[in-house]
This record gives sequence, structure tokens and C-alpha cells, in this order.
Amino acid sequence: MSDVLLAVTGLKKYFPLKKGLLGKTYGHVKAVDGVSFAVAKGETLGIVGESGCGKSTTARVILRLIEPTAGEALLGGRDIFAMDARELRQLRRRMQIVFQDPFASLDPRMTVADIVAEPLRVHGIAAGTERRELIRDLLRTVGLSDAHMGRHPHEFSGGQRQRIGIARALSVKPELLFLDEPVSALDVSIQSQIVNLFQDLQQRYGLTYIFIAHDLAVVKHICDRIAVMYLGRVVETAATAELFTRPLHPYTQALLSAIPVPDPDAAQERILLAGDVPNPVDLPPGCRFQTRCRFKLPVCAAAEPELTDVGNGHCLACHLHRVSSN
Amino acid sequence: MTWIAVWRQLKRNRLALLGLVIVAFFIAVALFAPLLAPHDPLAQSIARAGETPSAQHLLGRDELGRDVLSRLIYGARISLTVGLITVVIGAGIGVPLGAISGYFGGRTDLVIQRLIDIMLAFPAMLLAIVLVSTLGVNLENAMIAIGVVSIPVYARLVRGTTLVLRDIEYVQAARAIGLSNAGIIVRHIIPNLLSPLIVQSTLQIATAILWAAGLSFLGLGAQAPTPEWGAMLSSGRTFIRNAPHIVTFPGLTIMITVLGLNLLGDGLRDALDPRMKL
Repeated sequence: MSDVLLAVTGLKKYFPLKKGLLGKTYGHVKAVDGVSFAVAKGETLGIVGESGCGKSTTARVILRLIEPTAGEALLGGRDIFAMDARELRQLRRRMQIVFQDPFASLDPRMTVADIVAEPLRVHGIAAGTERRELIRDLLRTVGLSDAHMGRHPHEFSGGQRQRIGIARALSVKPELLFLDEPVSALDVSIQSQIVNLFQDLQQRYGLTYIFIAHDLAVVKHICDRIAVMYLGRVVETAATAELFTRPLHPYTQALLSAIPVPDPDAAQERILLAGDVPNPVDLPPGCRFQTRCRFKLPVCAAAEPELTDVGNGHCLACHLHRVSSN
Repeated sequence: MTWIAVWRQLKRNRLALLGLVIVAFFIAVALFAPLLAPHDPLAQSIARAGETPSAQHLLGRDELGRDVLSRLIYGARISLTVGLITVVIGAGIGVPLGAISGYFGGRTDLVIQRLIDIMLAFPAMLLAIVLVSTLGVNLENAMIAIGVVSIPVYARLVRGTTLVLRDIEYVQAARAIGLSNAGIIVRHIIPNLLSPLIVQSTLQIATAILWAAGLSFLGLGAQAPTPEWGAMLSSGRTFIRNAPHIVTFPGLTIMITVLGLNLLGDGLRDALDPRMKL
């Protein structure tokens, strides 16, 4: 990868668990536990995994909505976590986020124009009629009209609300957009419209996306590369086509087998995961997937597998592959 | 949720409408007191003290021969002012305190909440009495005392709601945009707290009127000859056997006003609750 826009290494976010009057810390929820990935300019990276695996937390930490426990995130060579308040303000113009729930992500007391104008106001971009013109342009860009400017969010459908959220995120002309399950709260018919909008916008503005999702069909459609997360770690990354044709991690294989095939006669081997997800407060030693893995080896309980390149930029954190290829 | 929708909800609640009518009536009485009062509320006539209600003095004369109705009409001004000012003091300090406490959490929250606990540990009336005694006995200080005593109510209410709002996505979005913490509290948190605040304030005005009447009854609020409802109750109580109307009417007035405010507050709570929408 030549033009790396964002490079994340060893990102960790532990939430302390406290109890008692003095708030003594007795443990940590390891929401994100050593995540590393890189995104190239203009690329769409998908982050998939079941709920609670740390996808959203990863995005929020990189956006500095919550502070990281450890790790490094370089945006265009500058470490996001080392930025002071002034640099952080500038950073807000380079990275934005579109949230999952279009009903919670817009302030119900503000008009559409106010919502989209807020980033412009905060960063002192344009003013007066110029700003209004800019807002009008933004709304048109996302497929809304001038007539919507004075309305309140509750007057819109889920898809329209999501468009308002996208207009807000675009208003500061960001380079990198985090899409945190942006279509999973929408009707299927609306989903494709919003996904197409994302693709149009990417072509028009050369945007880079980090697309967080649990719907693999959508991810397959929009993403160039995919990172699979399990319990706070990336277990496999590969180009989309490669991952879908040659999934190597047992967890990825199980995820892919769960995608419904629109053909009732198609023979489909469904890999059902048995066992329990370990408590993220108290992870077992070794591989964190061992409790549910079909192919568990003795080594899996002893050492945590590292994410290593197995060729073609396909990275994997699994002992199985190394053992079988030796 | 627009105000038209709130009004539509409120209209369907008979009791709330009754409350609204009562409150509107007393506001009108307070505003137009000089026009409505048949007599000078301070004009005494010792010779005719304690006269029972008659055509000329609809609610009779008090222990100094003053017209009870006129005094009640002027008293509405004082009671409603007390209600409004104490709510402004209580909310003015309590809302920012609660918002800061809930938004920042951690140590800030701990310190503020323990201070609130200390205030709540004393019975409100007792704390108000102590404050008035320390500051000096007059109506202004009584209002300050009642305002201060109502701070915890607001601080707790606002903290609880802020805790919920803080993690809502539009607040996260505002942070991602780069809006400062103060900006988020002023532009996103407080506007979304308005509904519970309006309800609380309506009920709090009623409480404040009761407390002010109580303080005046104890001689710690309005001083003679100010026509304050609680003070009227206090000075008239000696004559309860010979001239019961002197205490009865101020008592009824307080009761009806407080009832009206409570009915309106309860109605507003239902009308402003989005879950009640049909």
C-alpha cells in the first residue's frame, strides 16, 4: 500500500470496572485489545464482527471521542493520540462519523439547517448567505431538497434522517469517514439507496471509508478490504474477493456460512458455532476464539496467535494455518 | 415535539385544563390587582375589625378592619413573584450544577453530589429557616432561602437526565464535530432537558408558595403590613374562634393555587412525555 491515510497499531481500550465506595478497580473490560490495521487513501475498509467485539469502540477511540488505553494511530503521519486541543480541532475537519441509529443521531430540537450548519459554525466555515448556500448544496448532494431546511428530524423517515447525518458529516469536507453500521437500522429497500449514495460520494470527493457492519452482504458490496474482529482483536484481514473465496480463520468461515443464499435448493453447509463467548473481563490464555473453535489445537490454549501475512496481503491470526502449512 | 402537540395533549386532560384555568386566573388577578381590588389593602378601620362577609366586603374585614378580598388580590402578586423568583434561583444554580455533574462524571460528579447530599440531609423547611435567620428576616431573604433549598431538586433531576443524554449519538456527533463541552451542554443537553424542567418548575412554584407562606406564618417571611397569604393566615389565627373568615379565606386561596399548579404540572408531565403520544 502506497498512500496510507490511517495506520493504527496496537490500539487498546480497557474500561475499568469499579466497585465500592472508593471506586476500587477490580478488573478491565478489554473492549479493544491490540487492534492494528491500515487504510489507504480512497479505499473502503470494512470492519466486521459480532456485537460487542469492539468495532464501534475502535472507531470512537480513533475519533478521540473516548481516550485510548494504549496504541498509536497515524493520520497522514501524525499521531492522533498525541494531538493537543488545537490540533484536535483541526483533526475534526479531517475525520467524521455517520452513526447507526438515525433516530438518536440528530438533536430532536434542532432544524435540519441548524444540524448541518453546526460543524460550519464550530469551525467558522462560511457565514451568512454563503453558509446557507453551502447547506443547500450539501442537502442536494445527499438527495434532500431546500424545502427540508426548516424542518425538524421527527418529520423525516429513517433513510432521510440518515441523509441528514451524512450531510452533517460531509459539511467539513473530511478525508476519512467512519460509517458505524450506517444502514443496519434501515429497511432493506432503503439500505441500497444509502449504500449507493456512499459510493457516489466516494467517487465525487475521493473519500476514504471505514465501514463498520455485521451485515456481510452489504460489506461485500461496498468494501475493498475487510478486517474481521473477534473480542477486541483483528483475526483476519484480506481483500474482499480473497476473503469471501478463501476465508482462513475458523471464525471468518463460520461468519460467511451464515450469509443467507437466495436459492432454496442451494446446498449450504452452515457452520454453527458452539460454546460460549468468553468474558471480555477474564479472557482465557492463548487464542481468544478457542472456546468456540472447531479445530482447537493444544497450542491454542498456550499462546495467542499473532496477525501475520500469509501472502497477497491476506493476514491471519490463527495457529491452525501455520501448523497445517508446515 | 412542538408546542401545538403539547397543547393538543393537554386539552384532553380535564384536570390539567382545570389547573391551567386556575393558574391563569391567579396570574390575571396578580397582574390587574389595582383594577380588581375593591378597597385599599392597607387601609385600616379598627372600629370595624373582624366584620363578617357582606355585600361591601365580600370576604369580610380582618383583625385590623382591612378588606380581606383586596388583601388576597394583592397577595397573589407576592405569592406568584415568590414562586417565580425562587424557581429562577433554584433552577439557575441547580441546572448548571446538575448538567456539569452528569456530563463530566468522575470526581466532579462525586464532589457535587456529596454537597447535594449534605443539603438534602436537612429538612428543607429547617434549612430555609436557618438561612433566613442568618441572612436577616425579610421577604427577599425568604425567597433566597427557598431558592437555595430547591437547588438539590433541580441538580438531581438534571444530573439524571444528563447521564442519559451524554451517551446519545447526537451528543457524540457534536463532539466529533469539535464542539466544546460547554457548547454541548448549552446547545444540546439543556434544550433537551426542557420538558422535565418545565414540569418540575410548575410543581416547584407550588412548593415555593407553600414554603413562603410557611415562613411568613412563622414570622420569617413577609412582614406586616404586607398582604402575604401566609402572613395573613398567621395574624388571623388568633381570631379563629370569633372571626374564622380571617384565616379561612387565605387558607383556601393557598390551597386552590397550589392545587391548580399541581394539576397543571401533572398534566404537563403527561403531555410532554412522548410515550403518551397516540
